[in-house]
Amino acid sequence: MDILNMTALDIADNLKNKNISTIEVVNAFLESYDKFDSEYNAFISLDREMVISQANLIQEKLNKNMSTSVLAGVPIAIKDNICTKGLKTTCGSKMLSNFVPFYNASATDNLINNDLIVLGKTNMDEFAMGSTTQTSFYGATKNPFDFNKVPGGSSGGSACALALNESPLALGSDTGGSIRQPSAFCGVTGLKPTYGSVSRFGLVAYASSLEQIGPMGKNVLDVSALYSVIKGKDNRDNTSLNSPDVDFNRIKNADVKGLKIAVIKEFMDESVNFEIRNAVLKAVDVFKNLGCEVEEISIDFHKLLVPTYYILACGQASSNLARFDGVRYGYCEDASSVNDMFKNARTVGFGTEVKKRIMLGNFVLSAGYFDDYYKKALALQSEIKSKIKNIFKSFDAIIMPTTPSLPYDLGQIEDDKLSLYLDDMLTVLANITGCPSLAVPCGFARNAMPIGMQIIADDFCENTLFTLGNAYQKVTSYHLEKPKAIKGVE
Amino acid sequence: MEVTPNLIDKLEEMSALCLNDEQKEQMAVEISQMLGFMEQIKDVSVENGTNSDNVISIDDFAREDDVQKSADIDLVLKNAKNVSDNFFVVPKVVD
Repeated sequence: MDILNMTALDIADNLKNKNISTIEVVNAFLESYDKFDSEYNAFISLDREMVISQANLIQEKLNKNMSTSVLAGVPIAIKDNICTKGLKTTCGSKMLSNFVPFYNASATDNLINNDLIVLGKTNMDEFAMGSTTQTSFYGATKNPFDFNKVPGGSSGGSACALALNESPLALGSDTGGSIRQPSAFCGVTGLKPTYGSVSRFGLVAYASSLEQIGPMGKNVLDVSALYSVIKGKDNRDNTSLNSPDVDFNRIKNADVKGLKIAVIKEFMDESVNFEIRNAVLKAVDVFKNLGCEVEEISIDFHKLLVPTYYILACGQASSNLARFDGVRYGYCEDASSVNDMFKNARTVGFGTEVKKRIMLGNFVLSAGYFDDYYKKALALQSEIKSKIKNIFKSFDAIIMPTTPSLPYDLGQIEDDKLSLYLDDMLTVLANITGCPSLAVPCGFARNAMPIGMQIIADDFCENTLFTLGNAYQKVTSYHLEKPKAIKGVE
Repeated sequence: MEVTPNLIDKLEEMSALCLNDEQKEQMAVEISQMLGFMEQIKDVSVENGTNSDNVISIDDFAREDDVQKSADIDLVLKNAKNVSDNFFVVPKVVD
């Protein structure tokens, strides 16, 4: 059977019906890993023995019909900033190169309790600070569609592993677009859930009020199934909440007739690459043909999104990353004083981008600047939130491009980091407002690189996103396109 | 705003980092660029904004005051470079 080309839900069905075994499944994906990973660098660590022993255990449960999980026996790759007990969790940093967590993140626990098989940990920008996966201490990940381009980031390893069939599912984290932007660059589907719907316990913190762990997969149905597994209130994260159950019937029926969709004019102007704009406009036509009502609207806060985001994110990063002092865990060099010990650990352990964001964060939080920067950004955040809430009084969803640019060449942006930050303009909206956003492939550029759109809905309306996304994928095939690299080997 | 060498020194100290001269110069350039676009928000008037940390309304809740199992101390200490008995070891703080 062609395991690599099955969806995660198909794999689970075939396992349940005893058509295939968990060992056959993990071997198929490990074979892909062996074939591609030395070149593409999607994974930071993978423990074969651990994978095989999980597969054997879950097969026993399946043999006895003891698992009720919708994804029992399906392998999954986990971004390397999500704690996995006994399995190194580096955050793509030298700082944590030897860190082996003694506990699981709640999201990891949810996967294990639902009988998924953890394949390994995926590459990422250091501490999730970046959008190219080039700031990883463990080397850049390559784009599956073009070896000379970036896969996006910071969850670039997860997106790459999916596109190369190294894993049928993945977890990422999204602070300013880190699930959706690599999903767009690698032609996969990913969700930034509503803030609070997935526990952040065990996610190494970058910007606590903006980030969420989220599911990534090859299509909307797989992503919705994985979301159903990881969501829910958790006593270990006081910001977590109970959100509505995933409504699989509604999603599969894919009835979107009469849903009202807004297209924001300012996100479809010349600041967005014209091929991306055209692809999103075509997608909007698809929704019109499916019976949705589409209307163009205008906003007045689009230019404030990126500054607001970076002030909040850097401020919180400077505070969150203060914990890395080399004492209890992390890189450590002996020194004659405690202060020198802290400084040595941080100076050698952190990369340049991380140092910059910590310093910027200390600036915006410091006396004399706090009111003008951090406090103002908080006020803007709540004002932007109320404006978005107003939009959702009249609309069920917003459709817009995920990125303003096509995937960059490796190394291209080294001298122009500012333009890289400004390219976050389309994704940070969902983080600033806490709204859920689903990234869905919607085309290919002339250079054969994938293009993605995002569908954003009001808080806790993931079911609306999944329904719209599945309706779109039922009548389009962009999500089925595979990189040339794997076409030759299947 | 101007990012002076003094400001970079202050931020370096606050961040518990040590940068060499070349790194400081590069950092001044990049931080200046970032502040250039961050400054846009300084002059924007905010009509209805609040200073809440969370945009999603979250009820405070407290866990039951139950005794929970402690983490395995051996595993916790395994991640530290310098330990003695059940303690983390750091250079002498008080003379």
